[in-house]
Amino acid sequence: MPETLVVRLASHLKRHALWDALLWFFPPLLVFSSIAVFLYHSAWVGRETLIVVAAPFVGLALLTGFLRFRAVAPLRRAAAHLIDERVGGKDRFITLATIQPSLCPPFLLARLRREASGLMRHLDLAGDFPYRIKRSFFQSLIGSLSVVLLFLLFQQIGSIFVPAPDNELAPLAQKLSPIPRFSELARSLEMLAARMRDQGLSAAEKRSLIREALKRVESQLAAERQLGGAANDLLNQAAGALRGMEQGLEEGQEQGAGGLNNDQTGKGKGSGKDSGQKGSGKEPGELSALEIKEQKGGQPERGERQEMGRKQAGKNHGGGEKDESGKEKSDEVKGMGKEEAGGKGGKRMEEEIPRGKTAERFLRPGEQGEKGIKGARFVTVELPEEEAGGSTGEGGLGKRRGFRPKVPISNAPLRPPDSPDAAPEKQPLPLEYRGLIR
Amino acid sequence: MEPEKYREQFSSLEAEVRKVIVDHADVIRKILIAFFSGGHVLLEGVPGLGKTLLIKSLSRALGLSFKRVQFTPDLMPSDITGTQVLTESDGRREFQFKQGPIFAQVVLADEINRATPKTQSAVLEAMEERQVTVFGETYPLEPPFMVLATQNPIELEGTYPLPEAQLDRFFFKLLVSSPAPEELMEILHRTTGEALQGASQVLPNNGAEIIVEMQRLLRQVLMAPPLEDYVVRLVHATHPAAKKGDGAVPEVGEYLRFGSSPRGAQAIILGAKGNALAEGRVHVSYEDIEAVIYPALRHRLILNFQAEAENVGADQILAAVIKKVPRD
Repeated sequence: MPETLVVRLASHLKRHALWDALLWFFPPLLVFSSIAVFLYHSAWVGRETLIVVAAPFVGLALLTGFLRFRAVAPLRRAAAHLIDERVGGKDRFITLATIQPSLCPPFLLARLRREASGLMRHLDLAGDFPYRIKRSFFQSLIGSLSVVLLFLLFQQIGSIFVPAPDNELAPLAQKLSPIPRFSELARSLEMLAARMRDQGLSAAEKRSLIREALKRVESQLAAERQLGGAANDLLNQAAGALRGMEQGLEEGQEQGAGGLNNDQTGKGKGSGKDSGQKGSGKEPGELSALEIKEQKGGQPERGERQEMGRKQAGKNHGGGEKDESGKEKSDEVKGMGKEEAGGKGGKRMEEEIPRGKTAERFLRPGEQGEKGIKGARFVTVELPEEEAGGSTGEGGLGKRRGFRPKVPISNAPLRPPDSPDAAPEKQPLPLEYRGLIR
Repeated sequence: MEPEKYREQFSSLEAEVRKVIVDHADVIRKILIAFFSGGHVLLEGVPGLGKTLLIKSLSRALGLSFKRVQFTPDLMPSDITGTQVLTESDGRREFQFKQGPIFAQVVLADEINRATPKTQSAVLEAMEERQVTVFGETYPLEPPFMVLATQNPIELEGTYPLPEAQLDRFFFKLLVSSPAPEELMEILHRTTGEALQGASQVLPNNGAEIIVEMQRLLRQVLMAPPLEDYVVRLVHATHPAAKKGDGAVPEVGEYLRFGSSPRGAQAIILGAKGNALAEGRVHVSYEDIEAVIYPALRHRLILNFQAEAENVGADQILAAVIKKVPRD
């Protein structure tokens, strides 16, 4: 029966359409799944985020696939038209497939069926209508591959512009390795740097590795302190870098966004956040290389002082620029390392000139220093009563009022702090300016 | 009637007319299709192309009564329909209806556009109703009935172009073109020899019954709904008011004042059925539709001034319509 043939062809072509829809739908789904798994595995997105994003995407993709299937799945009419074209049926099959037999003269319908049956002998469904991969699949494939390439490209670009923390770790390990007592530690740090690049490691695994390494570095640092060794700087830098990496991982997992690589992003985020909140890109226990030097007992060198001044200014101005601040910090640390390596003469001089013990830390803006805090420096300034009473902190006030200030007496010798007429105001002053006031 | 029998008769008629008429195979076929569809044909062409001979040959081959009316400006309606004349028989005088030439089965209205609109409209009722009313009395016309009108497209002085309402009553409008050199040579051989051989009768004496049967069979030809839908879309596309996304064609909006009437769609379907039977098929194909769309619609499209100014014809617009309207 020609009508049966039309039905068979229609279902045959529907299967083709189903394959087309699946093939069209498969590459983007695969790409999306890969990216999602990658992001989840590298702790970029949490389980909930993944579900929230993936569920609508998969739903939308399924719906689109179904609509596409419906759009391309041929009806009986289209199947009949195809048979007509194939066998030269001159619309016999489309007539038989669509006409209502009860409304037709039976003798004409019988004759049409006879003619169509004669033609359908030349038709082989599988042979004449083989499945061919459609252009839509290739378009989908190319589109999906482009997305993957773009993803990889962005990842590469990200890794170029944002230095990975293990980039700091590896040079430090190289610097430590010539020193015989640190060779073991250097090797372990090198291994850690290599493992940090492994995408297969989860964030938790990376964190545990970092903690282990940090313990090792801290124990080594404690031993060195006891011995009074000169390589404490490198160990401190290594400890700082490890802390930064750990914090970066934590931040990256918490926020699930902000960069391409977990490690890279973690670093950028962590440092930036700190600088925004505290005006310094460090944790309370974390010390920069400069501070480490100070802590060790030496005055910062001239260049380091200038750099520190710039850093302070940068922190004050760009507290909100998290990533840049973070990057800046890593650059500074690098810069310090370079100075360390290149400026040996300066270091020797520093060793030769005896200096007093450095303050453990400075007071931060707004922080009230406790009396007798170790290393804290205060300058007590006494202002005249007229000035102190009328001052609003704005420049040029006296001029507007026609008030002629008396000779400033702020440079007058200070009363001892414990004397009864000591000034009530206390102004914390950085160490660098101590010399100027004196 | 069996389709095979139909085709046999159709081919015989075609062959017989072609014995007399050189070329114009398509015109002959279309006239026969229109005849078996029960329609009337308007032939347009310059004088001397054998239009009258074609029609005479056809009527002779069909074995039907044939009358020719030369339309002139002074032709009166009663000259066509007939009139009451006073007759005397057995000493009694009475009015008797004298049939006009319209009462033939095949009527040739030669140069129909030369008659006044009043006379032209006298043919209107006969064509559509297949009856004539004279002095309040109605006289039916004997089936099969067909009017074949001719008109000259160049000599327009002193003519009365057919109004749209009357044009719409013609099933097909066929264009008779000038013969090619080889065909002209053949015409000369046939017409300048010893004797001109006319067409002989193909159908037997009871030809009218056979023709009615053939007409009935033609209407039974199978037509798939998608093809009917295609015809509807084609006709709809000729309307300038058709919306943009509704299969509208830009040329239609630009050059047409009015599109085809529903009679146009009827003519396409019946013509396609006739074409299918002539091809030996019992079902209509898309090709049949496209074969008859030009003669069925070209006189039903009312061109605007811009089309006249730019010398754009209805056939050009129909070609655009066929091109733009998809089959499925």
